[in-house]
Amino acid sequence: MSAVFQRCVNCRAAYFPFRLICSTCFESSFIDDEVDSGLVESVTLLSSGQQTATVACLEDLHFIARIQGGTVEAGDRISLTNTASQETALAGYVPFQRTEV
Amino acid sequence: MAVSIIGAGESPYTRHPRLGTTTSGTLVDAVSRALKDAGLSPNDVDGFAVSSFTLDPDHAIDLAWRMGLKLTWLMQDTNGGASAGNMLQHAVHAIEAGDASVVVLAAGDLMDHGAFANLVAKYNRATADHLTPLPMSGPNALFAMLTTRQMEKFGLAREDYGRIAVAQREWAGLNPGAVYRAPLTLEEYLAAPLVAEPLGRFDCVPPVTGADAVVVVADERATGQRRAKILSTTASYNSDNQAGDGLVTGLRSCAPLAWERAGVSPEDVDLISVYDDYPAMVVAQLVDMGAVGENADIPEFIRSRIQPRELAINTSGGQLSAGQAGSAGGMHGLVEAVRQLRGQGGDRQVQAKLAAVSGYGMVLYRYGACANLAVLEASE
Repeated sequence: MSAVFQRCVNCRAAYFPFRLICSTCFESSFIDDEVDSGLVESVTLLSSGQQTATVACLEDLHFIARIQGGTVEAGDRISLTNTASQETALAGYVPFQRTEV
Repeated sequence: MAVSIIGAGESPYTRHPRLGTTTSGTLVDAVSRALKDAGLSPNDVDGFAVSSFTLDPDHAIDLAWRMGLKLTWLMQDTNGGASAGNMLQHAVHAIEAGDASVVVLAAGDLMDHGAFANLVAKYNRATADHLTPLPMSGPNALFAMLTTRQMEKFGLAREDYGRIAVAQREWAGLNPGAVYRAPLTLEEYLAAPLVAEPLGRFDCVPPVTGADAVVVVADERATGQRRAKILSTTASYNSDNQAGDGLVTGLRSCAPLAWERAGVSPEDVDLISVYDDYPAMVVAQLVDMGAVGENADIPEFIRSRIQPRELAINTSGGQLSAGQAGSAGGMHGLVEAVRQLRGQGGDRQVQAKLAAVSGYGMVLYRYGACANLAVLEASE
C-alpha cells in the first residue's frame, strides 16, 4: 500500500499532483516514487458519511485522501493506498491516475 | 489616462432556469442591461471580454459575432472567481494603450445540475485525476478542511462564520435580485444540515444560472456620468505553488500594490465586495487585503463590524445569498460595488466613496490559486 507521487530526476524534489517543470531546478524529467504513510492534518465528515482527510507526508507533500476501513482524527498516522476498497485495513485512498504528463 | 466603469448589468439569477435558457442568451442579457445602464449601444463597443465555464463550443469571438460587435480588442478569461478582476485589469491596460475605448466585460453561466456536476468533476486535470475518483463532487470537502485550519488559527467558532452568513442574508433581504432573501437566524444557520463538517448548508453558495456585465471606458467617454473610477487593479497567480495551507491567499501579495497605486489604505474604504465562496474565505481575504489585521481579534471583528453591518461587506447578499452564477461569481461583487458607487443600491444603498473588490478562484488541488483586488472611487 502506498500513494504515488512525482520526484524530480535532477534535484529529487517531490511533487503531488504532478508538475511539468520542477520549480526548484527547472528540470522537466520526473520519476514516480511512493510513500507508505502520513499524518492526518485535517479531516472532514461528508453528509454521505465518508471521511475525507488532508494527509501530510515528508517533503511537504499533501494528499487529499478518502478514509477507508475505519475513521481517523487529526494527528493520526495513517497508511496510504492507491487502491479503492472498503475491505482493507484503515487507510487513506489517494487515487493515482494520470491522463497526461 | 483615467478609466472608469459607467454601466453594470445582471441577468436575473435563478436556481431553476427556464427550459430553453442558454449560456449565450444569459450573457447577452447581462451585456444589454449593462450597455443600457451606460447609455450606450453595441455600436459604441470596441472591446469585449467574457468568462464562462459553459460557453463551449462557442468562444468570445462567437459571442462578438452574434452580438454584432466590431472590435479592436477581444479577450476570453478562464479564471473563474478571479475572472472579473483579471478582465478588468486587462481592459484598463487596453484602454490606456489606446487599443479600445469602450470595453464590455461579461461573465456568466447556465448552471443547472448537469452543468454543475460536469464542471466540478472536470475542473482541471488534478481534480479529474485525484479528487473526482475519491469520489468528491465539488470543493466543499476541501474548504471544510481549510475552515477547520482557520478556526484553529484564529480561534473562530461556527457561530462566527454564521454571523457572516446571517449579515449577508440581511443585505440580501434588501436586494430583489438575490435568490435567498428570507431572514436567516444564527440558530437556523447552526441547525442546518452539515454538508462537510464543519460546513453547513448556509456556508455553501447556491449554484444559480445568471450573468453579470460592466462597461469600462476611458474617462473622456464618461463626461457628466456617475462612474466608478478605477484607482487600481492588481492580481496574483499561483503565489505559493500550492505549498501552503490555503489560509493565505494571493491577495496577501497583490493587495499592498493595489493600495499603493490607489493612494488609499484599507481603512479608507467604505464598501468591500469580497469573494465569498465560503465564509472562511471572506475572513481570509479580509485579512489578506488588510481590512483586519492578522493579529487582530477576528471573532470580535466579525461580531462588532460584520454582524451589525457596520462595515458594508457584500451588500448584495454576496454569493452566499444572491447565488453563484458560475464564472459570474467574481463579477457579482464588482457589479454591486459599481451600483453602490453610482448610487444605484436601492434599499441597500450605503454612503460609499471608495470600494474594494476582491476576486479569488481556481482551486487547483487544495485551494484557490488566483486572486485580485480592485480599488474603485465614486466620481462624476
